[in-house]
Amino acid sequence: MRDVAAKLTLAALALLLVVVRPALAQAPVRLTVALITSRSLEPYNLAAAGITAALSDAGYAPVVDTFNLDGDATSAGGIVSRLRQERHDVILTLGSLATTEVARGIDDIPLVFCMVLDPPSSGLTAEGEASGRNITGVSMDIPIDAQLDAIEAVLPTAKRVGILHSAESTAQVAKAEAAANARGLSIVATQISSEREVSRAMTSLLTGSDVLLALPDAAVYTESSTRYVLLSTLRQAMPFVGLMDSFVSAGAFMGVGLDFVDLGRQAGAIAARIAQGEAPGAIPVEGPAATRLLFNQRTARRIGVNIPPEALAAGEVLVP
Amino acid sequence: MADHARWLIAAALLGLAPPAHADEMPGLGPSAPIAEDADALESLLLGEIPRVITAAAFREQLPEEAPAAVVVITAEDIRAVGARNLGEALERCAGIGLTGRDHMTIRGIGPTNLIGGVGDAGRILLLIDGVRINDTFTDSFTVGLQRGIYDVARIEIVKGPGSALYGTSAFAGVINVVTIKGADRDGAEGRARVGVDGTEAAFRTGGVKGSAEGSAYGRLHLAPGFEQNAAVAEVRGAAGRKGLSLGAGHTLLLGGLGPQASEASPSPARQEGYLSIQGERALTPRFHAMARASSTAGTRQVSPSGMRVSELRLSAEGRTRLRILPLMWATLGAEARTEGARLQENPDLDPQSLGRAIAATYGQLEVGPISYVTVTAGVRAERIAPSLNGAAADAFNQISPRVGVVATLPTGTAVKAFYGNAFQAPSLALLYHSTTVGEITLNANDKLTPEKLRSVEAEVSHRFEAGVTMRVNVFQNDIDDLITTTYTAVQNELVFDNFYEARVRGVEGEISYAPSRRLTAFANAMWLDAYNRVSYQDLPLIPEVTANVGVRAQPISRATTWVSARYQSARSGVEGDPLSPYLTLDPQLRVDARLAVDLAPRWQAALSVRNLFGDQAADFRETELVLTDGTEVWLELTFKPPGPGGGEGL
Repeated sequence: MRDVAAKLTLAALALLLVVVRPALAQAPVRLTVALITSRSLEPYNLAAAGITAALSDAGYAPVVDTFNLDGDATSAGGIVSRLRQERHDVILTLGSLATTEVARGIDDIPLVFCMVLDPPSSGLTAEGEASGRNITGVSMDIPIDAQLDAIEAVLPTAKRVGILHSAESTAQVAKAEAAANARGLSIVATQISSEREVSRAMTSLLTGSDVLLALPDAAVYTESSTRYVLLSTLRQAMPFVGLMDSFVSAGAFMGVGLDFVDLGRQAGAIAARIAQGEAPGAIPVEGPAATRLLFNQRTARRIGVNIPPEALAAGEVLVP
Repeated sequence: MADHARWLIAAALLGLAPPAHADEMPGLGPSAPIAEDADALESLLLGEIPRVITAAAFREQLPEEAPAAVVVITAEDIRAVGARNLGEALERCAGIGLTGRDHMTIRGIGPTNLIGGVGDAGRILLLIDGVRINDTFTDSFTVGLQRGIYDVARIEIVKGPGSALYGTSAFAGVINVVTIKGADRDGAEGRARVGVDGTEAAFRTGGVKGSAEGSAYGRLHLAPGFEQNAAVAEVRGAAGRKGLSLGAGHTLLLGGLGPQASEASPSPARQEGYLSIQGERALTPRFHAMARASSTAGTRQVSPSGMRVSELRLSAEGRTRLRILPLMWATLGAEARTEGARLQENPDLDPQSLGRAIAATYGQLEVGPISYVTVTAGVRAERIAPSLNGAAADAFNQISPRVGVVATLPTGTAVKAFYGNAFQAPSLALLYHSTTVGEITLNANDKLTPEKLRSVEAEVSHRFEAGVTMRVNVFQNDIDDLITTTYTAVQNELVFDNFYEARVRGVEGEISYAPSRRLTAFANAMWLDAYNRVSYQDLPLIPEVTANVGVRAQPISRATTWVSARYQSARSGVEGDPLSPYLTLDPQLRVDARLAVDLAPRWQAALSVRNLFGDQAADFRETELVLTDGTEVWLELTFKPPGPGGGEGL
């Protein structure tokens, strides 16, 4: 009887070992994360989902505290104070406002930013470079090559690419000119100082260009000026290559967009590297790893442009 | 040192001190630029670009450049204020007066209005996605303001005469309801609502698959125990592929009072539906063409005797738009409609068949002679041929011109000035249908001619840097041949006649302030004076005033508050007119408050409270113009779709 009990006990222990040991070996590591967003926007939610997914994939159990600035920089002070007290393992920020406001007050906790347009314009390190500080991240800059590739593929006869820009985006224009020259395209750049000059500048651009390309420039593209540009290009049957889904949904002929979950995954992977011991200051800022080609077929019909089937197959139709 | 400390204290009290954390261990350094510009652009790219208006000139335009006084109400506006139906969405606009469930006025003109005139001609054109919805019998709204708006992308309101593009019915203005298409918003969403006015469930879904898009919407509102609209069921749907689109909808109201019914004779049911198919294509980059065929149908009870009417409209329309020069566009269109109403007085009598055939052609030229200025000139010629039981009657021929100039200056100022004509053809009900209200018999008159309106208006708007926008509009409308009732020699018998002349003139203004996305405020007001003139005397009438104020704030990230007040002092009828069931409303003051809380990323709960103050509530109760009197409370639970919200697009 005693032997039987002993055998049963041994069997139970063996079974327990078989079941529990792998689980112990794979137990995720707890990681405290502070996630600060600039405002409530669905793309930020998608990026946040990508961040947690990437951390989980890397073997971490992220414990996420979420903060939202709601577009109000003055609310950052309280959040920064809490971050200093609670000292999370890593801070992730979504958007330029959240990133700059948190970065101003925190220099001793690793900070990974995501969904930031043109990081140097907000005082952050440029893409491909390491900050040497506590900050690194993933930009939201759409590669100019992807935009010009799209123009070449969809509008093979378009040779003059119009760009409306301000002094803020002179560097981007120079980059675009270099990339265009390599393709046999020419850039027709018109510089303005504020959105109020958009209507005047559009008059010359619409006659001197075959296609209009949007660059992310806050001085040019505001709510009202964007509506004006969209309508002007539609009326003059000028193909307009916009930015992101919002431009294409609102009437741009096509655009290059990003996958926000993937952007979040990139940032999450960087956070995992930091958690594994890498110094954030040594990790170069990344750009988006992939882009999406977006079409508005309603606009294509209106301006009389036929999208090549192979380009259509490679892209996404936001408006059929 | 002491001075320095005092200065710091003073600066802190004045809010000039830098953020507490700014000088402590800066990760970016004190010279780091502020990211507000980048944040604004990111919000634009990741959010939704505001929409435009199409109803003012049959092409996409910014509101400030449209050749008319226009207002665009977006889906975001509708949901922020918790509007339950079309009427509640419209009522906060400057110049809109609501005098009942199915009665509204634009700048004092409507079915029952202070200029007199009989109450069953709408004088306002209602469109859904461009399809004419006014009923064929009275040319008014069968469902009208009770229509659900959960699937609405935007409502375009064009104030002033619209006959140069739309012909009859566009007398005081045009309302175009644009629904959310499948490509605009992907996924399913829904809302459940419970309140003192019953329970309601609404859903919408839509999406894109390959080159096709589709959307569907449904709504059911149950208010057992209420005399009006005890049940409302509504469905709408749309599908599109490669420039071809199909749209359909149907609304059923049980236990409601129709425009022609009275308290003594509630309509047991009324329903209306529409079906349209439309194709549009750019044949060349400069030449765009659109063709549409549509039908509307409805049934309802229209008189105390139990007379029922069945209505049908078949319509075909073609339109082309040509860009002649870089700043010159021409629009040419033609439309043919046949409209009919079949009246059944009672089962023992033969039904009467009323009808009219309408043919119209129109053109509009828009020219930009200099930068920032657009001159618009348009005209529509329309022929309306009525008939009774197949026998043709005298036809009406109307020419409706309209000219205007719009200057949109780079300083943010827009200046508009217009002159235009409009007309309201007598409805089939006025031409051929005699009825009895109480002890009074109304006799139709087949000699009626259209009401005619001449309008002149000017508008200035400006967008200031500090998030402030303002608009002021002055207008004058002169109306001839207004149809009303006159006494006959026989006691208690009245006959419809082109009896009145009237003048309506006024001013409306609005101002909005949006310093941030967390705070927006607006105020608008309209004052107008009107009188009508009969052959023997002038009848001065009281002025009409409407005013609205509202503030939307987001005190914490998950909660949004909305508080608004509306004042309306309007007369909906002519003093001494025994047929006006909605005569004289005392000034009304109403206050709305709403609190919406995000429970989860896609779930939101909202509590709304509405109150009518003082004696006005009793006036409403007497006239049966509102569902409930006094205080209304309702609670909503909303499930929002994923994605950035999308939009209607161009």
